[in-house]
Amino acid sequence: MFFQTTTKSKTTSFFLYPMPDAGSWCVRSAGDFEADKSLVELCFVLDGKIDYQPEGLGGLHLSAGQFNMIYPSSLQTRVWLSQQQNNLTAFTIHFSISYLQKLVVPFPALIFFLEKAQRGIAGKLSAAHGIADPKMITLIRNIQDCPYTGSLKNAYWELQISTLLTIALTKIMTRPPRNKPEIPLKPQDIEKIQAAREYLLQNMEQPPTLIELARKMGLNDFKLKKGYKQLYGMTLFDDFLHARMEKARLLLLETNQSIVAIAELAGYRNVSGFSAAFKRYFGHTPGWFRKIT
Amino acid sequence: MNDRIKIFGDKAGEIPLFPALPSLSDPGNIPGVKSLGANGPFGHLLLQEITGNGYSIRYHSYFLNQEDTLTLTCGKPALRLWLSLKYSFYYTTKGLDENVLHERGFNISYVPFMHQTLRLHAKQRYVCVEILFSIDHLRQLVQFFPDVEDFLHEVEKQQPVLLNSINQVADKEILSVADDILYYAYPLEMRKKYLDNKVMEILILALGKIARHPLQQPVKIPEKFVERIYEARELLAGNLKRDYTLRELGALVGLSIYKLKKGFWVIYGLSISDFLHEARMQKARLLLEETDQPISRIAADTGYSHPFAFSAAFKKYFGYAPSMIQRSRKQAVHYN
Repeated sequence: MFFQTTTKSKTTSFFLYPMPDAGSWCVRSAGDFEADKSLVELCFVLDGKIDYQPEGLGGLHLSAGQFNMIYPSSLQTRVWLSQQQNNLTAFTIHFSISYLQKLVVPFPALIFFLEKAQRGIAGKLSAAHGIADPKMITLIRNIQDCPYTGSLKNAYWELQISTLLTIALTKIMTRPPRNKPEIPLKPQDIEKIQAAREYLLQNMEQPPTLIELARKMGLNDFKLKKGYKQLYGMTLFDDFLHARMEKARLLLLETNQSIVAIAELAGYRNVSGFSAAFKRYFGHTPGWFRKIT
Repeated sequence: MNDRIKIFGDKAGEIPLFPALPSLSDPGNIPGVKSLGANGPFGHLLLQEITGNGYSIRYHSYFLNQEDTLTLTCGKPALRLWLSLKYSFYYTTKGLDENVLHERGFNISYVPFMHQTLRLHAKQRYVCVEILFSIDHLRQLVQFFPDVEDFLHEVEKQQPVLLNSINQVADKEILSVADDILYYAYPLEMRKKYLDNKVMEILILALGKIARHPLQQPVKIPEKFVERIYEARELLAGNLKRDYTLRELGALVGLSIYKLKKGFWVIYGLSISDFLHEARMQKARLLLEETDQPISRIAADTGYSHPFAFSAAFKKYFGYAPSMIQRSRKQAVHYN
């Protein structure tokens, strides 16, 4: 069994516990920090599933890739592992409340959570768990594989933890609203949406309207709009805008065509509309760029 | 950006810099990054800069139509980490050295006034990044790296100085932090904190590399030889599906197997098979981040016959499964 604990100047400390044994397992504080104070935990599950029961919070089910910040009202936490499971890796960082209070300016949502914690009331920062991204996993890996020793190790850890915490809080607090469920997409819908994108990019000079495009592809406009966003992570309009601006940029830099012609090639009917969009996108008008290059 | 940066080509003459439009594939295509560029018969170049708390990050990209030597001057002192990301820079720095910074090479130096020449070949893309940091960064780091003390004293006296006269080779960790710095992907409000941390991190990694495993011998290989290694690099990285034998690869670029192996080893600090593995993994990561191709297709495109083998190799290399990128992209909030 592998259990590692480190204390960093009584503010940050963290545990690392890949747990090989099935059954219930109790995590307690190590004697390194003030035992009468419980700490806020930032908990990541890296592999497997965990049913985590911090005192006063009820069950918390976290599966691989999820994280959340919790405050258990005491240091007794029960962790349930199912019998079949032989591979669970979790990674938890413990923070003192005062360490986190320094972050309430950029993350005001912390205020309420920390106030409750100060009064000893258990809670979790976010009702829905966060989803870790690859950069966060890299940071955790760096902490685990830290090649340094002594004070440099602490400095390096503190840096990694600070970055990880900033990303975690940002993710928890800027999550897309959950009341927008995904629409189911059949494989043929996906193909049609991909074809719609292709068509749009091929016909940039005469862009169809959304409804025309949907009809052409045999989809309804709602499905095209929602499905597109789901598939490509941005709206059809934003995606198309990027494509147009990139095309305009290249034409402006690499050809001597007039701005009127470039506007047309980028699918704008009038130059002023094009110039305005260009300025919004790049910060300067196309004419200005033409002049200086 | 600093208006005082001036670029002069031996053949091209003075190259005036203008505010530029970074392309979508350049880093820092986000607010707050200043871009200067030039475009003309000589070729094109782009300088981008983002300034933070006591540091400044500069990205340079050059492409010349004919071989030329560019002189870069800037009236300001420069305490900097300099890292080449693409191709070899044959350079001189006034007050310091005449040397070459190969792909992935880095060094840390100080000059009171920047005056540097770069000799660049025609029709090659050159990319490097400079991280200019403050003497306070150095003072903070001296406690962990006692060897830096002499260097710090020289900087305090405003004397040109190199931390290590031998250019070092960046490892995977350093390159990955450089990537984090250049391709920032989180909301703008937290960029400051993130970059503050990442700049400190890359300095720790670079100093740690020098303190723990410094390169003792400078990389000394003829220029023609280096070019051939880059040709081989291009062939390998551009044809991941194809398994070149060393003999084939050597014949294609005109090097013996021995020289080919040696070249990769001295420039990248990696064997050819490790280099190829890395190229496969990085390409796969890029495809996962930027396209919607299924994992099976990406596996095939990066030279894996079976997606399971691919996923296992990927997870071993990065510490997370390829599907994690897809999942986190689905969840991503579009910040910019």
